[in-house]
This record gives sequence, C-alpha cells and structure tokens, in this order.
Amino acid sequence: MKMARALVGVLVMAVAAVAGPETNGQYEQKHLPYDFDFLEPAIDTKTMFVHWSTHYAGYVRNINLVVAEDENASAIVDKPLEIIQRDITTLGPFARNNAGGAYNHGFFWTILTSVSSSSQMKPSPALQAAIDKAFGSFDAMKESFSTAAKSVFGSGWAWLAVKDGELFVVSTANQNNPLMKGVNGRQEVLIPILGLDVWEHAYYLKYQNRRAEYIDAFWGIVNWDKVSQYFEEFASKGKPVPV
Amino acid sequence: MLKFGVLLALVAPCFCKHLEPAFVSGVPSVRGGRPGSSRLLATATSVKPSVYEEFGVTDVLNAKPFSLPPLPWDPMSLGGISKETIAYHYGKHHATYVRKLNGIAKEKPEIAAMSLEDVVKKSDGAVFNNAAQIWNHNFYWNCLKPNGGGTPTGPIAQKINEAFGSFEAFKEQFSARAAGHFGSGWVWLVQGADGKLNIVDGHDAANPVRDGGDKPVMVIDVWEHAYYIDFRNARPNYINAFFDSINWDFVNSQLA
Repeated sequence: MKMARALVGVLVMAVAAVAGPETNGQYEQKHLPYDFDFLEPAIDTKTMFVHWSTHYAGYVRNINLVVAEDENASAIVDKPLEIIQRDITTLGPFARNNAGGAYNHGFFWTILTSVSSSSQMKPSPALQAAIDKAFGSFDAMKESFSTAAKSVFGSGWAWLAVKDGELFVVSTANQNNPLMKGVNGRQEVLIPILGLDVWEHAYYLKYQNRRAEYIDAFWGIVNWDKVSQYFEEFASKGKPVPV
Repeated sequence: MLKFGVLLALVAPCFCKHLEPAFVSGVPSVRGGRPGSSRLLATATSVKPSVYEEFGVTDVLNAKPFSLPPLPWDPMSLGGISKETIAYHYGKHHATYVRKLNGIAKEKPEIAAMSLEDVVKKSDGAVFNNAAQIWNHNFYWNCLKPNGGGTPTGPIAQKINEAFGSFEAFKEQFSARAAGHFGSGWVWLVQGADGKLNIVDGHDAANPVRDGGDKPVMVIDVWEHAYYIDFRNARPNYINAFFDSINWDFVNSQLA
C-alpha cells in the first residue's frame, strides 16, 4: 500500500507541476513567498507542496469559475479578493467556500516564515499595545488563540482579528473567515491579521491527529513583521488585508 | 524554486509490485445488539490482542461507561485503506472520542447512565460531538471488510435498483455526494420510513440517529483524516477504495 501511496504522491505532484499555478482567471494563485521546505520542521515540505498546489489551487480555480460562469456574480467581477469576502454568502455556498478558501490560503502563506526568521521577530509596539489591552499579555493572547484553534471541531480556522482597532480571537468553520458578513452567527465583520488553518490537510501528513503539536509549532513560524504591518496599515484602519 | 527533483526523491516510488497477504476473518455473523449499539459483528478474537496493544487502545476496549468496540477485521489489509490509516483513525481519533466521552461522563453522571444512542439523540455541543463520532465510527468499521466490495446481492441490491435504477447509478450518485461534501462530515445511505433508500450527507458529526427519521444503512467517513495518509487530497480515489471494501452482508443486515 505504501507503493500505491507513493505513486499517488508522484502523480499529484506531476500533475501540479505540469499544470502550473492558476493564472488564467480574475484571481491568481499566488506563489509562495518562499520555497516549499522553508517552514521545516514546523510544517513539512510535502504538506506545503500538496497544500499549495492542490487545495489552494482548487479554491482559486473554482472562484474563477464563479466569476466567469455565474450570471449572478456580476457584483464580484473586477473586485479584489479581500473586498468580495464581505457579501460573498449572497452568491451561495460554492462561491463562499471557494472565495474563502482562496483568500484564507493566500493570506496564510504570507503570515508564516522560517523558524530562524521568526525567532528574530516580535509584534511591533503598536501591535503589542493592542495585544496587552485585549488579552493582558502576549502569552495570554497565544493561550486564547491556541485554545480556539484546538477547539475547532471539524474543519476551520482560528484568527486574530481586529474590529474598531481592538483585537479578538475568533474561529470560523470550513473556509469561512471573519471578513464575511452573516457567517457563524455573526453579522459584524472583523479583519484578520493572523490566521491558522486547522483543516486536517494542513497538518495531517506530519502531525496526524496531534493538532496541539502543530499549533505549538505554528508559534515558532509566525511572521510578526507581516502581522504587525497588517495591523498598522490595514486592520486598525478598517481595511481588509489584500492578498 | 520547485525542487521537484528533491520531492520526487522524497516519495521515491519503487515500481515493484507489492502484494500483502489477504487476511480472511471469516463471514461475520450478526451478534445480538440492536442497530446502533456499539457492538460489532465479528468477535474480538478475530483480531489479535497484539494489534490493540500496537494501537495503544487496550485500555479503551474495556473502558466504562463507554468503550471502544473491537475492530471487525484485521487492519493488515483493507483494499486501498492502509493499516497506517487504521492505526490513526481507529487507534487515535476513534479512541480519543471514547476517552473524551468517558471524561465527560465522569463529571456528568446523567451521561454515564445513558446508552450511547441516547447520548447521541439527547445531547448537544461537545457531548454530542464525541458521542456521535463514536457512533459514526462504530458503524463505519462495520461497513468495511477485507475483500469486500463488488456488486451487492440480497435485499440491498433490490432496494438500490428501486431507488437509483442500477448499482452503477447508485455508485455514481453516492460517490458524487461523498466527493462533493465540503469540509468534514459523513455521507449516509439511509432507509426512510417508507422503506426507500436515500443518500444524505451530514456535516462534522451529524448523523441520522439524531433526528430518528431515517435508518442508517451504510456510511462513508469524509473527514480528511479518513483518507489523507493514503490518498492526500484525492478523495475520489479513497471513495473507490471504500467501494472495493464494502461489507454488503452488514449493509443488508441494517435494512428494516
């Protein structure tokens, strides 16, 4: 069975390599800002490859299909990905799932960096002040976020997000995100500055069921420079982060 | 940037045919227990105790008030679903749901006094999630067997033809529902009160037992942990492997 599995692995990668990133539609599958092995050992190379080249690619492909073929989708034509999130639920579950997936993953790659780079970073003074105000301390924020990430049942994401300049930890189901109005019983919109994918595909190859270990490892690869930038330039000004 | 060569080396397929011996555990016979009980068809002795030791679940097999049922077949061979998958799926995910529900039952004696099915029907939130996932996995293992699959015979075959026109049409529809379910969940073949078969998909832990209307007859787990080790994101390939391993005797036994 290992042989069959290896063969599937090769085929997946061969197809992805030949197919290339999705660039033919309104939304582009963004290249990773780094090589597939850059986040080792926190996130393994194979996971980064399959995650980026199949899951992310699929969401981008599908939201582009919505733009191209859904006659009700005129509202999202020529609109940036971060802007269409807000009212995407009005276009139905297929549009919501894939617009969300495309945004969430495009966002996710940018807030991660190598273990060595991350170890040199920390939240900016402005972000740290906001963290202290909302949670009491950096460690308390980590605790709150980690708990949310562990508590997601099924597939979803944990987020550190901003509303009216204040920080909150929220979680969302499936490929929803806090930018979407009317999901998870919430009409208000929050702007994510940090997110963690806890769909099993994000960690299963290396961590299997040990999600808590994956969450611990995540803290070692956060790109705090990016997260701080997202807070100061976008979220605290009420603007969603473009990806 | 791609380092494709490195990745190729990582998976390093050796194109030699690898055959695992098929372990035939014998035809399962229906043992007492209503549908929905946590007891499985095969006897525990058909799977060696060393398997449970290897999986680290010996304690959970005998736990109270809720226990992990024994597997109805040896996990050495189950078509395209590897022993490694079963080790994590049964040995970690399923076992953890049992441990968690027992943890809850310790704090809540009213839960401890209920049958698993009652907890599924009457609870919400984390209690429901754990109980329903135990129930769902208990049912799922029964739907599989080594050297299973093929075209069904017996009453299920007739009912499938009545509801879907043909087995092929049924397989196509069920597979499409299973492939299309977004996020975690289960896809069920159920029998309605009118006796007719239907396909329903439930999100996360949701199952037909909860609402009590439909009777579950067969299920496929489409949480990513069910297939990611063996198939990565290629869920359709997993669905094919599932079809190659269906225990049609069990499915027949679930019909009203």
